[in-house]
Amino acid sequence: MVRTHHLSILTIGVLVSVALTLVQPSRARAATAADPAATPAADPAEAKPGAYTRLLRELEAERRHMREEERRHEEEEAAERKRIDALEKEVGAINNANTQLQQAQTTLQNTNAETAKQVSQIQKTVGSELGPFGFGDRINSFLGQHTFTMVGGVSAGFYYDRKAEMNQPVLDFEVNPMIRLNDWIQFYSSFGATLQPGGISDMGPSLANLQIFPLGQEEPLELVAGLFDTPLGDWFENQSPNWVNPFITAPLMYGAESIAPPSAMGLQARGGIQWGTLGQDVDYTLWIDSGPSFESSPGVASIPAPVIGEALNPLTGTNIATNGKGFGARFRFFPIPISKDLGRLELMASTYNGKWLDGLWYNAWDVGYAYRVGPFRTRGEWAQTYRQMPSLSGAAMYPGCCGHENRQGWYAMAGYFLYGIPHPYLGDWLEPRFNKFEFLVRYSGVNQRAILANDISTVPVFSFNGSPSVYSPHAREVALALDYWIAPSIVWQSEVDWELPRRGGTLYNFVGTSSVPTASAINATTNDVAVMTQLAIGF
Amino acid sequence: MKSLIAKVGLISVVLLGAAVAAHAAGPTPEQQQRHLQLFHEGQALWPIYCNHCHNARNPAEFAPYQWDQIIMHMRTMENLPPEDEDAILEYLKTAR
Repeated sequence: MVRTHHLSILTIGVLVSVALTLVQPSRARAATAADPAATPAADPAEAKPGAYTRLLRELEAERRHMREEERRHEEEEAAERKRIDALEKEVGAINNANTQLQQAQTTLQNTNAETAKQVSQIQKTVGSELGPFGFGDRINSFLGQHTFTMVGGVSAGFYYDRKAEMNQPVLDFEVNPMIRLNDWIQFYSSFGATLQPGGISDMGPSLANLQIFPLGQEEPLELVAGLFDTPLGDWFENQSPNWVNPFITAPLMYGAESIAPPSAMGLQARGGIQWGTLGQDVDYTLWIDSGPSFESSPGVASIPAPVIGEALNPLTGTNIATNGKGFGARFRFFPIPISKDLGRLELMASTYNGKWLDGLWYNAWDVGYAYRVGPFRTRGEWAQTYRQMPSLSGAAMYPGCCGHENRQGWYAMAGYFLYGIPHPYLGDWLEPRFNKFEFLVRYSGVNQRAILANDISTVPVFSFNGSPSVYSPHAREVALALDYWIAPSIVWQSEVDWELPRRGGTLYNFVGTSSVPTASAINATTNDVAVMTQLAIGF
Repeated sequence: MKSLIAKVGLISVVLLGAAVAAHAAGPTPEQQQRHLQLFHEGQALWPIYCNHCHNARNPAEFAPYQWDQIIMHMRTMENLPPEDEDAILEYLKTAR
């Protein structure tokens, strides 16, 4: 409508301008012919052509403006048509989706009705069945499940020690069969093999025990009978599995020169109670066993006579009949309630005492702590042991023989998962990988009077870096580790150990078939460094 | 003699009926509430207690019957209080 109005005005304007153009020149010519003296400026008619021309230009400009307006309107109309077409398509798609939803809803309603019918039939069947099902279930719940499960771990790596100039691949494989006989008895065992200098060791049991709940599972009393990890401290029981220990090596006090026996045959009574709110626990472990065993012990006798500095044995089955006896206790206290959101703190004290050679005493005391909150964890222990040595006289005497053996060992470690560090700009690919790294540091040491030359090994095996500097009366070690936790129980570990032994102590050596060791003073043991990498998988 | 047999038979029928009725009844609202409470406690304890010694394992790693065995072992090794063991086990078996 507006466009038609504009066109009419435009047409009229054009016609007027054409008429005026034709009339003005004839009038001007007539005026000039009648009065040749008259000047064009003096005649008002002479000014009209200029005004008409100006008007004509204005009309022309108006015409062009109208055309531009018209073109712009046409373009807008075309764009509107496109938008309308797109909206119509969307409406069509929504209509289709709505139809499909209605069909799906109808199908679901039909399925629900069918399911309700089936459930009703099943309920009727169960409700009317007077067979032995309920009775059988009750019998089963009393007798237990009779189930079998296998867990374990495997680790493979490569160790290098500079002082021993030894490169060595390592392998450790351990399976833990568990047979739950019923709700109150379970059999647990550990079979393992390790790559050693002579090849892979025989697959043998290192643990085999019955876990018994004599008062049922609702009472805080469990019995463990058989071959078990020594509960002195936390290390052997809780930290020694290859995928649990965040370091590749063991701390010195539990490693190659362990100051406590790793395993024992006997009977434990243990349990835990909640003394406060959730998370505030206290637990106890009491045990009696076959007593500590040393290299010179009867049944083992890997060295010919007792000597200060000889190593403790794990219980292997060859040294059960030792006439020894041992008893111990461990108590742990957890003071922080879960609701405080401050992590879990453990304070621990334990003792182990026994006779290692008929009437000779072995005593050990251990205190420790463990704490974990968020990405941070730390734990440490300090232990002291005493061993009563036999009275020697005559040819059996050796230099320094006649005192008693005292040993101290300690370690403290700390670890931090890198996810605790703010890292907003790493990107989607790098961030989850960065979060899986844990950086760890550990300091450990052992003090003792002597070392036995016959014990010294320079071949790296699983959990031991192969450094001869570890075999020092005053060994010290700083370990740095970087773990990449691929999964909660799969870890790729890298570790550097600096061995920094202090001077002092005695080196005993049984040469040939002699039953009396030679003695030499250890002045300074050189420092050493070992580098290791290992993949450990818990399954 | 017949009287004795009748009494024993009657007692047996009553006991059997009670057992079947108890089984058919299903969990009570109180039992369901107890399960829910255990689940929430286990959810809070699982990362704290397990991480104390090693990284907490995913509940989906083992079947419920395996968790029965593993937690029986871990309770022994870690001296877990019985109620805490119940809560962690409930969580691990349910959150798979």
